[in-house]
Amino acid sequence: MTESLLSNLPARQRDRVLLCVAELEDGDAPLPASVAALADPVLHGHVEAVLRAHGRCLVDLGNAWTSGYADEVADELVQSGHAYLTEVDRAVLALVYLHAIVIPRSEGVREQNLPVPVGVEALASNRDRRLSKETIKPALTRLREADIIRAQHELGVNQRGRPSTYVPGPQFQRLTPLRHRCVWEQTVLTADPDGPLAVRLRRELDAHEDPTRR
Amino acid sequence: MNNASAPGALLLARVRFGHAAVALAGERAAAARIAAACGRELVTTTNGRVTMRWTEGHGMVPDEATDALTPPRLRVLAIAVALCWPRPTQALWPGQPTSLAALHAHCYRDAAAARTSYHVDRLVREGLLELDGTTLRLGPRVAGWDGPSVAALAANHDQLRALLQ
Repeated sequence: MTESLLSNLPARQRDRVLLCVAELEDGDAPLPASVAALADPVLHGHVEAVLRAHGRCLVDLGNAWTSGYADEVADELVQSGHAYLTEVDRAVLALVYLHAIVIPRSEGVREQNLPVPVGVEALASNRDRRLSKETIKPALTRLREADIIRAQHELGVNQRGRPSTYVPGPQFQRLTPLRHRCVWEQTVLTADPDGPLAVRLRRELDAHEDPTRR
Repeated sequence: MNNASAPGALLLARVRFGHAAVALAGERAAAARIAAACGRELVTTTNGRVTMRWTEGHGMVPDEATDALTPPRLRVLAIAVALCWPRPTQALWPGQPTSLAALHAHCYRDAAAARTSYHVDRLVREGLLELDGTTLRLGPRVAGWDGPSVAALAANHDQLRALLQ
């Protein structure tokens, strides 16, 4: 039973597990893998169980961990039809992702040099007139307030006298490997819908009949 | 176990997502039991929504060195100021008390709603808000805001109030 998932733990270990869950769920940055509750296999299992009871999961970042929505729960939330962001905010977020990660990556920029900060000028250089600077700026503010993107000056970069630039924020790290793959697939299908990669992807997605990845 | 089929887990995920408006009594009871076992509790906001917070003694230990007033936290503070300072012709300090549920109700529409309790906790620790049970007030640091800053807030009071609409 979920209600008893921590009842067998001594109080001190229970507190460690709950503190770890709080830091994973509320913290601004991922937790190092060396944190006791994550490094100890028993406590790690309890952290995982508490998150699972909340529809969440651990996300492995290599030498650190964060938390995110479990894939099947994320599917249900998406299918429930509630929009987390407005259409404009989603479009601007996609532009930030394209300019900060996808385009530089396709140009050969090394992974360790990603993301590349992007400014309003570049974001507004798209051909869709609905996404003007006047539309993009308030959307960037909303995305910053939601911690989905970060302005460079918030990351300690001195930008005095220069226009603000932005990068994807810490929420991106909360995506599970499956969600990252979905984002990549959607990017390919959108950016080059008739390209050979998109054709192959569409064939694979049709074969899997997985509506969440289409 | 499939999380999606566990009513408590799905409801708690919806609470974090910010869309747990309606919950069957049984589903809510199951979610509340899970939350309680994990040091959390469900809170119903003034507009009938459900959110979640850590109970006393649980939650994150603040790191003062890195705990900046980030944009999401600034927005929670702005909503609290709007609630506690309804008329700019009156003094900002001490303002009028509001309820935690009212704050949650207005933060609810934000994408950052999931972490509202966390931000409130940090703002209380920073002295920008005071929390007595479920009653929320502006904190002592707000009393120290200088005249020009308060005048600028008063001049833009309509923007503060717009956060409540």
